[in-house]
Amino acid sequence: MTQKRRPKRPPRTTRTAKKPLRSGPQAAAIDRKPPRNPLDDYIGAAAIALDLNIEPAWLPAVRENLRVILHLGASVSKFQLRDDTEPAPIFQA
Amino acid sequence: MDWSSASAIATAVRDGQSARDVLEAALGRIAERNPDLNAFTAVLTERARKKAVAIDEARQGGEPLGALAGVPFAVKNLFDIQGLATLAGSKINRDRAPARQDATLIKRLEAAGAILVGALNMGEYAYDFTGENEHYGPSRNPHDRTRMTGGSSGGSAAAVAGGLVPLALGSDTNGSIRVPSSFCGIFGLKPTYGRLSRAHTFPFVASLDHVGPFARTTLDLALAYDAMQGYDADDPVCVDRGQEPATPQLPRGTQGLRIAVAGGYFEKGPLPQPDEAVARVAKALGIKRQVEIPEAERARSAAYVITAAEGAACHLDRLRTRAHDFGNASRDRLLAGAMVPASLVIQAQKFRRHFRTQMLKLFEKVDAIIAPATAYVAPAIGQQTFPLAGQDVPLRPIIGAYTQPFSFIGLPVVAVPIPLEPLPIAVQVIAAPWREDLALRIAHALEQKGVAAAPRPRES
Repeated sequence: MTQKRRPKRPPRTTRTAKKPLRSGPQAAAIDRKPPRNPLDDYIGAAAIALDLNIEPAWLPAVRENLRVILHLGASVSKFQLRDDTEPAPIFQA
Repeated sequence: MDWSSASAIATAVRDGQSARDVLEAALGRIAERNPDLNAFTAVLTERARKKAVAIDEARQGGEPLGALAGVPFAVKNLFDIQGLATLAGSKINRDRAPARQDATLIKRLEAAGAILVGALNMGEYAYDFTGENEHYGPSRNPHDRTRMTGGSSGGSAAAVAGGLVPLALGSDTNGSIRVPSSFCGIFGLKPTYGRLSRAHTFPFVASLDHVGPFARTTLDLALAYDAMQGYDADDPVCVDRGQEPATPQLPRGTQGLRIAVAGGYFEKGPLPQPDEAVARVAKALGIKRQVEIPEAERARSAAYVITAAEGAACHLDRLRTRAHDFGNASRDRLLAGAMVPASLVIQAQKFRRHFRTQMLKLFEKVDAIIAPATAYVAPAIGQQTFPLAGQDVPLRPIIGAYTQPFSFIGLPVVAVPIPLEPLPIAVQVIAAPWREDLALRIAHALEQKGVAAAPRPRES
């Protein structure tokens, strides 16, 4: 017996899964822009929360630096520590 | 006294050599070589002359002179110097009011007879491993002016390696004493966290900031370290342990010490020089043992996260009000650091506790560990990448890869220069907390055996 294979769904990304917000020439203009990096939304929100101004020219470098920090932070967070491990914000040798 | 050590100068001054003459020679060298090296951002001619005259008068009056009598020294420009704005390598800090007093460590070196001759160039706000500075220009490596000094204490290393002064002070948050020591081929001491007072210095990452000396000999390093020890209520993390002088311990050698070479993470370097330097040290000391530093790479990652977040917090107001006045590289990293989620920072601080416990267990089995200080010799000024396995990989983020795991938990480390050709590189001698004496003894033994030395630049 052969099973019918379900057609594969296209891979979901935050942008391709959504319908265009507008139609017509404006939508075409939006579509031509490079896809927005998901971190940019976070950077924009954090900048508002912290009252920081991120100029457009600074954004790529800020994003790249943040990406590296988050990557390294994730590698630290993966490490299993006991729940009662005390943080050591001021190290006492 | 051109390339004389601090100890030789002090001995000569105590024996009758004019401190004023020693000083004028140093000022002459600074005038001659600093235009090339860009090590100094301020030269304190009149202040230094007054101090030199006072030392000569004291000697003529029969007063006892200190261990560093007449020794010219200079400090990274994040140390407060009375009457000067503390720049910390920045443009923004030019607008600060002049410091009302000297940093504690300047006072202590001067109490030992040393003479402050100036303030030294550095990476902006100490967030730097290169020695480059967008506002004041790069400090240049005395062994090759086209190459980096390393940072952030780049001017300190250039001034000592270039023979301008025999002694300088710097700071080390993630490697800013050890990296310039490696690239410029001099000795540097990053003491135990809390050992030397940071009072009246401009901060970067409070939980990682250390201050310490640079010199061309281990004896000078130990003399300066001893002169600066002692509790200081003005630095909240300075520990009250009393004096534990290292200088008298230097001649004891390495007999009976359990020394191991760091394996694993510290052997993965892309270039042969670090391995060659460590091999020379291991051979000279007869080291057969290798130890694994547990989770060294993760320790470095955690230090990176903490640095980003704490450094950004230090500058948050300036990022709001004067973002355009930062250098590009500093601003972009600090802005990113301001956005690091607190959960990641706290997790990094928890990991720090775990790593400290593991390292203290390791120090039950060994007295000291040898590791490379940098993965390569001094790169070219402006260099952004280096070739690795057929690809160009970013150079700057990994300059501190070998130093960060140890400063992360405040261990004392002596950077020991190995005079490879054509450029030197340093190894780290790492000891348990509060055992600077052991690290200095090992460094001294390597110097005595001729394996370690601060090479004199060919161009000088």
